[in-house]
Amino acid sequence: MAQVIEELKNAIINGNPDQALTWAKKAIEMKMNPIEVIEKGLNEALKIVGDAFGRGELFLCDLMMSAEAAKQASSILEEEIKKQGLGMKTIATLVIGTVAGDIHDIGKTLVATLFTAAGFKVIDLGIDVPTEQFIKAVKDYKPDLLGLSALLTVTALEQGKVIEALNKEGLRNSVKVMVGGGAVSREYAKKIGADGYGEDANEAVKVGKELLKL
Amino acid sequence: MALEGHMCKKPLEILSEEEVKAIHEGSLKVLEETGVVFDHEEALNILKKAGCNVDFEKKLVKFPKSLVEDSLHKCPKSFLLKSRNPKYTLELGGSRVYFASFPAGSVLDEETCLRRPGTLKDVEDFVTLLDALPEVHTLCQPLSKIADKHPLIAMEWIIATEMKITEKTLMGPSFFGCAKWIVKMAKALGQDMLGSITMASPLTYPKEQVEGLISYAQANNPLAILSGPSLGATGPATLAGALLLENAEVLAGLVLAQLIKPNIGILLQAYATPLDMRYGTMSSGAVEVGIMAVGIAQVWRSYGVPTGVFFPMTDSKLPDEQAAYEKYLQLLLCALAGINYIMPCGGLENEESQSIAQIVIDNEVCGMVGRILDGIKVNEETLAIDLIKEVGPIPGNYLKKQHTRDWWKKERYLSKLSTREPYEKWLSSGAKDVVKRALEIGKEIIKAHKPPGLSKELNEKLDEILKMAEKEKGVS
Repeated sequence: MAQVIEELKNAIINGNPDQALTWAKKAIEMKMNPIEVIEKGLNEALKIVGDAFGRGELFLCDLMMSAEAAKQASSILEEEIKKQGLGMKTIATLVIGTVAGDIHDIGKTLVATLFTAAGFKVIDLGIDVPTEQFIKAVKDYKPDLLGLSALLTVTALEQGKVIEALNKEGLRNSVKVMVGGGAVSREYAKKIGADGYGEDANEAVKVGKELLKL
Repeated sequence: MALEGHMCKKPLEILSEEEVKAIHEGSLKVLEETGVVFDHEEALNILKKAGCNVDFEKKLVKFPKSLVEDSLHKCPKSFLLKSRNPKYTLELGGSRVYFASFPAGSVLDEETCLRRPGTLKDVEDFVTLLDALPEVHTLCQPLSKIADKHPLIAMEWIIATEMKITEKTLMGPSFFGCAKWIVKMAKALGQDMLGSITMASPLTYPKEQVEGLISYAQANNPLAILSGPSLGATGPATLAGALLLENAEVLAGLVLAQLIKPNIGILLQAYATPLDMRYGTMSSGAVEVGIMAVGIAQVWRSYGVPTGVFFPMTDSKLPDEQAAYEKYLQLLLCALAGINYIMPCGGLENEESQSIAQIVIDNEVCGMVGRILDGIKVNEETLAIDLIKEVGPIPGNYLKKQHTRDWWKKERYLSKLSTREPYEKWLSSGAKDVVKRALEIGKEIIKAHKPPGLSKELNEKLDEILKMAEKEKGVS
């Protein structure tokens, strides 16, 4: 069993989605506890990769491939958790998306990946996400953190609109809001009433954890 | 008559003929088999009517090879970008090389060396400086964001401010629906804009950019169609793959433009930049940016379409040695490659900040690079065989000769910025480095230079258009 976990970890660290899927299947065949496989295999591997990226030893494309490998494995492991009626433990939940009118994907996905690596449950709403969809996601998933990404000056205004809408819906105190992206500065984040800002993906995770006192 | 600029008689080449052909044919294959998204209903209809295979649900357009080749034939080999003062009209294409200014998102405060948000006053100062500098042949807005106008209307204000100050030709962006208003302003002044269309890699034309393309083309303004895949992120990590994608992407826009306005002048513009996999930032100062420029210029020259780049750039945060080596390696490569429209003047930190000192230094280097392009003039008089005979060996010398007086200045680029004075003179005048000297020169120009400006009537006309734009966009 320990070997399966080790192989799965290696597949993720090496960024090999096919291998990751194979070893995840193997774990299920061997009737291993899927929650344990996620915690000891996936999350630990992602943490190793995330830390190595932070130290400049692994690169963005390595990190993205590792995330893809972990995603492949987690899709079938999560299915198994559901099938067995088990509950998954995560340290916190993040809902993230690029705001309306903005189709920039890469930065947002990187932040989502690093939060996953840090043990968060991440719900990625994608790009060009309308304000109403963010609000609905906050109601549905009750996340601890909401991440709003924008690359353009005009779409950065949408971040402010999402925060206003949270206020109007009485949801503002239920969630910490973080903003980021090319058009956003520390000052701007403060101005629109966000709780946190990260200049890059690593800082975003650090700030997110601080906000949640993790 | 057009502004002289510089001439590149023998463009530098980096690809073989077969390699150029491989990139061309690969681009056609991508256009035919993978296709390009146009987020614009009318554009999809136009492309469908012209024989493209259009999936309206995915907004995906696949281009038959023959349509792309026909569209390339419709592009003029060169075209005029008309100024309201004919002295500044550009003739883009052929061997001519022009230098333009580069945009930025904020201002580098020269005292604190920190970024700060720009204002309309900063735009005025930068444009006044750019108007005065002789190697700035044409302008792209020096700031693309300002803090004292709503972001939805900032671009219209920035462009109007340029128009109110300088008679040099201008680039017109397409962000946030500004093209429509910029076209109106240019028409009121009787000048062309170089309509800038910025597609989004990979293979996507956002709605506002298609709207811009249509606005500029319908008003008969020439276009600069720009693609900038980021190697390893929004394009392949290989230089050849990035060039192939970049080429396919601009060709898609070129086809649409030629359908909307046959024979319209088009400049293809490159901005392929590697992603730095360590930080997730763009490495806009990378030397590969310059190498790729030489390659793509060859491909576009093979089409007979005018060429442009959206750089030189640097990732340096200050006007320092890194800014110099990154920008000027790219600049020299682009100029030697005979690229018609190069943007070296201003800009630091990958479009993030604008600096007076940097603009002054860039202008100076453009003069030197222009001098490189001018080359060595060889004729009877310059070979000076008779003069050499006349002077003979030592104690003969050339200082007291009319030939020297006639020629020394014509043959030299005389730098006003570099320190050439003897050591003690340099010490006694403050022992300043080039950045300090450039800043002083720049500030002095901004204070003293009187740009041509606009008549009161035309000024008011622009204000009227700005008011209409604000009203329609519901901001002020």
